Amino acid sequence: MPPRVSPSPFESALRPHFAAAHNLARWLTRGAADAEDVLQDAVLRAFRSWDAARPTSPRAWLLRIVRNCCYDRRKEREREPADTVDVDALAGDSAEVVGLPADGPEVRLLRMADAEALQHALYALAPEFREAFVLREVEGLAYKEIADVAGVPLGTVMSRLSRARAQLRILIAGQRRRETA
Amino acid sequence: MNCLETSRLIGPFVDDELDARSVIDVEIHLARCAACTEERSELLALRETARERLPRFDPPAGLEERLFRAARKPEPRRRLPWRQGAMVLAAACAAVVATSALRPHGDEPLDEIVDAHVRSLQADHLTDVVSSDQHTVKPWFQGRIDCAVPVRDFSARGFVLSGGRLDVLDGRPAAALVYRRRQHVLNLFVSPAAADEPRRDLSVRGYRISTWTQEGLRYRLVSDIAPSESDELVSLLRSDDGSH
Repeated sequence: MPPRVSPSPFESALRPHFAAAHNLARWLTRGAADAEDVLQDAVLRAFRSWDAARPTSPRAWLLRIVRNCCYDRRKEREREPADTVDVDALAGDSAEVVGLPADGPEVRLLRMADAEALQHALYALAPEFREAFVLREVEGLAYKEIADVAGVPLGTVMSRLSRARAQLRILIAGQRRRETA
Repeated sequence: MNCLETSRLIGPFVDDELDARSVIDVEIHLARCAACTEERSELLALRETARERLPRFDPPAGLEERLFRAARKPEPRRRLPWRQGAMVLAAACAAVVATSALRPHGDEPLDEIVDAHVRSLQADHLTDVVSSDQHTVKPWFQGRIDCAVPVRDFSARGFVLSGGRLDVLDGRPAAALVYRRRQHVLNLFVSPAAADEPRRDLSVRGYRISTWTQEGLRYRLVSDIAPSESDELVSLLRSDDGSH
């Protein structure tokens, strides 16, 4: 057994959420190496602001830092203001999906979608939509927590999730149709 | 409520994030609208597929240790190598006394429950007896705690029994049963109950806690999964389907 130092409050609070942080970083970056760089940055940032922040929900706090690091990194990389596009203001509403033919084969398509198709579709979404979906369905966060992580109001979380789902459904159905065509 | 209004609420409805009033409104509309019912089925299908098949990327071995060690380095902190945790223990005891002294929610040691859950995830101390077999886990508790602990596996419903350990809540021993749901861990604490109490659901520091009593035993379930999923396990545990 290596000699153990007692864990600091910082580590006791954040280490239990490291796997969630890593998962989010993987979904918001491309590839394992990127995710590790982002996480390193995030853990450092978290460490520096821990004493001042004293977060009541360490999980949401850490995920928020990870998320911001991911976005900063992408801005750096792209060096262009593409990221400032306000996805929430873009046209296109989930309501139109209601118009799909009732009793359609969509339910079957969705149930048959394999992991690869789903992952592919998810990466095709705007990161704000992707993160909402991942936080909800993979990490099981409540709307309120997602709002804390993304730094947006509850209503925005609702519409992002709804649009993420609408787009995923269209993408998955499209993929299947191409395959079977 | 019409289709347009329902389309705005159907997501939160499926996610269990609607207030009771709106839930009823949506249900009434669904009962007489085939298109919106189909919409709900699609959302549920998408969710199921996502939960079952989307990978949760696990961190590579050693990454956590490396990053946290690196974070400690830059500013040398006042980290004294405390003598074998004696002071930590003293501090922990003081904390337990403090939390049991101010307890806002009835007599439930909520912080203690969350702490016990978090602790179980940190160290290699999730389970003392590792088994998915209820007939192995149940007898293990005999003689370790003064009540018979009902142990049931719900693998078929997505809650996999992965073992048990002895923990301490409220200064008394409690049996901790560990269930896994995807990558998430749920701790179920079981101990003798003095009196019957109704079920309560609470959110503490981002964790969901459900407490109830049943046949002389006090149950406390804690996890970080979605309330709807946690509730599913509560219903399974509370149901008496004769499988134990």
